[in-house]
Amino acid sequence: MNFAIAKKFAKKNLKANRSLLIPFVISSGIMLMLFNIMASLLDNHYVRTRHETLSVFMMLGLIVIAILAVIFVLYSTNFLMKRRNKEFALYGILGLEKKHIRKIISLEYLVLFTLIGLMAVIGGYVFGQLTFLGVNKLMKDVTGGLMDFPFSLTALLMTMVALVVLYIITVARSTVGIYLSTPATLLQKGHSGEGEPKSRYVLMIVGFASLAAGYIMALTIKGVLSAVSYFFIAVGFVMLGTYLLYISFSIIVLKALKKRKSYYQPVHFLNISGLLYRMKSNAVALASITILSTAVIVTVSATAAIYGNIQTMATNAYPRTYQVKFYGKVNAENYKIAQEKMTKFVYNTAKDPKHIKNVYTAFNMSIYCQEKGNKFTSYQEGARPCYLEVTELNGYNQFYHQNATLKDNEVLMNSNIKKKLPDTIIIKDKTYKVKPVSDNLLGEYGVDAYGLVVKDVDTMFTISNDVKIRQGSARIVPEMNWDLEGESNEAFYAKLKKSNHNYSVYTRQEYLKSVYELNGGFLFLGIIIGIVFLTGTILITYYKQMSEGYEDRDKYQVMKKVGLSDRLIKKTSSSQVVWMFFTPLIVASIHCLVASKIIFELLHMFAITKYMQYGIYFIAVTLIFVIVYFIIFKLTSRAYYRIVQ
Amino acid sequence: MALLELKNVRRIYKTKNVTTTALKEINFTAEAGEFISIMGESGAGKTTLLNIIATLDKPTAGSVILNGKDISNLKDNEISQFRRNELGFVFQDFNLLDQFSNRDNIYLPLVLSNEDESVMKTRLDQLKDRLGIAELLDKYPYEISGGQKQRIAIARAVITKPSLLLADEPTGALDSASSEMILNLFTSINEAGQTVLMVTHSLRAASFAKRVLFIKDGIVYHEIYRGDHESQQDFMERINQAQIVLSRGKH
Repeated sequence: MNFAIAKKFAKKNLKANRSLLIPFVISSGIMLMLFNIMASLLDNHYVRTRHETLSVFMMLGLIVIAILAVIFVLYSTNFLMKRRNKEFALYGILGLEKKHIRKIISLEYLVLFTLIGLMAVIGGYVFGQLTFLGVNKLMKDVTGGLMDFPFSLTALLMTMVALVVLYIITVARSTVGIYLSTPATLLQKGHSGEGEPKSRYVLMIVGFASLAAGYIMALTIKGVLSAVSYFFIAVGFVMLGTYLLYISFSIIVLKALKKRKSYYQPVHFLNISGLLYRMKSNAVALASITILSTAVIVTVSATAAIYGNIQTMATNAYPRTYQVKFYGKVNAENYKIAQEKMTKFVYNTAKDPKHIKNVYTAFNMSIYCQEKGNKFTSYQEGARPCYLEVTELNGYNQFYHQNATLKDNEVLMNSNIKKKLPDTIIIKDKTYKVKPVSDNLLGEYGVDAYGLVVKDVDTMFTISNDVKIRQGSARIVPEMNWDLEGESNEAFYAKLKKSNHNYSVYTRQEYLKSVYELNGGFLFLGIIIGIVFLTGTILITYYKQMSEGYEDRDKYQVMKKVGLSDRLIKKTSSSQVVWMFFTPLIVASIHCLVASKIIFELLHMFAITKYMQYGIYFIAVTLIFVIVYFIIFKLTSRAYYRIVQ
Repeated sequence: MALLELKNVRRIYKTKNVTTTALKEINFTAEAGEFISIMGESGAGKTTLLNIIATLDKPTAGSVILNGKDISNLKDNEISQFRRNELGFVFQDFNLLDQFSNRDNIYLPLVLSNEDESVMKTRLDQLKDRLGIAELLDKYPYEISGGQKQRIAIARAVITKPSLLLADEPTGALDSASSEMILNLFTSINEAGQTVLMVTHSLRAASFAKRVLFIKDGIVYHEIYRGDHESQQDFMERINQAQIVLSRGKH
């Protein structure tokens, strides 16, 4: 058979099967498009420069998408091949040799995969650009400058490689199937059942073990650094466990249900057998939906939490709108003079001293020392440093709007290390009684540290003399914080900055801007990746509903003839659809709940220190996702019923 | 009283431009315990007739009375129940559901009628040896041969103890050995008291019946009974003769 004839055949076939092939091309195209977008994001300036961990996490997202894309394409070609077996059988009967059929098939898929490739590359670029434009426009003030969607050559190459690999696998699978069977068996395959799925206990055990390993990791990890490295391993375990359990456990459960006495009731009877029958081909799709849903919730809630926490961070760092600090030498004798000078300075900056509101002075000191039990002593070279952030009671009360009191030998204490605080601490030789507080005295401290509030500035000087650091005594830094009312903030700020170089000037606004520049991009990326994952979810759900619709159509015809009422058919089919719909949602929610623990650990990097700071976003995003998913479900099941009826 | 009575049944299909009369005027009655074959060429209206009796289709005019009840006017919500209780079906292409084991395929109509599992079991026990399906019950439809599938389908049709067993070309998809086996089965089921109505165009199949109706151009054109002592071979010869005469009449 020469090329021209094969071409003719392929062309005719593509035309004849277009109702089957167009959805295949579109959906596979979108899947690879998502892959392309994720790969392109790796080249984004922000991703490359913000933090090395970010690109590592992006890589993880890419791997997840890649796995799902491969699974999806294999799954949908499976469906395609099954429907076309009859056609290939006919070729055999009409006298085409198997190698001719192979030639035609390779040609057909070449055309299809070229289309898919074009969609992935061009569509990926256009879709990526558009999403970036849109999200940029929506959030231009808060993401810290424009983000670019790069045209990435690496991404292009990766997409091409994925495409070629998938092409080879698809053609190989199709032709092997044809080589191994006669036209007669092929004819049979078109409408034969898939065989009752076997109970695979080994897979189930491996699946549970893998899931448990992932869960335990996620739940027991403490500290940012180990969270980063274990996160990937945990994700891998959970993904593997999810796939294995959908394949094995679901079938074992359904088979157990079948053995129960109540099996022989109309609704159970139809439901259980129906679910069991389709579970084999759908387990993979369900697992994919579960993983994608988890990915959407985790990504969006984590980034939203980072973003939402920026405000909290700002108020933590700057309790008032303005702050000045004096980094000059201050000692026990002159600190009161320094304080007075600062006060005078602050009041002079405003047009009218009455404009200065909520003003207060505070003193801070950072010490690194040596910790042994509850004893803190001067730092020795080479030892592991322990950090103490010390402030005095007045500053603390002003900051947190509290009215706490302390006796001479008492301190307020808080730590970002998760362990019980001691009842007393000994600094050099003085003993202090510890009153634990839940306020985060440390702000966004990246390393393990203690926050201390002492009675007054004099006590701070005592401690700075008792515990020496490498440079001698730790420096005590006075600061003033205040709000401004009654005049323009911009003009005031400009004037404040120019007026005195003895003081370092800070504003909450400047700080917010810098933090948005640093962290706002996370929300941006989170939304983009959320869109990518969500598109994947919609796609797979839709494809699954369609393929099930075609399978169920003939079945319902038969059932009708045997005496099933339309009402019962509708009832059972909708309850099956509901099962297939809610299982992924429930499993995804459990995954997310467990993941929220390790995510919370990771978010320590962004100064999220209380679980509920993340928890609120987690709950909100999950609820929104449930609604979105429900809409997807409603739309896709409408498509399903249209096919069945 | 006759078990089944068709009075002036007419069925006309209308599309935009074409009106096709599938059944012009069908009249016949069937007594309980009969085994009737309906013969006719392709397009004679056999399947339409069977579909109407099976309540899968409705007549344009006329009435179909089963057990004294006019079934041509059943409401939609009564039809499913009626089908389950009064009728049993055997199809040319078996129509077994792959999602059920053979046992569950047989149970299906009883499950739908909320029958007790013990009742289902007893009834199947009574049937399984007669139908030779005891070994097939735990397999699935796609694991067994065509003849075996048809035996399962027959079990499914008779387990409800229907008033009337309808068969549409039950041997159409089977080889001759399996066909023989299936037809013998119909005979023995009939001898046990089951009324059977079978549509076929196979002479061999028709000769198993006690009465053969010939349909042509939408009416019952002719009918012949098998004599009490007539051999099956002779009966088949007579059916053949009748058919030749009928087809000659065309010209």
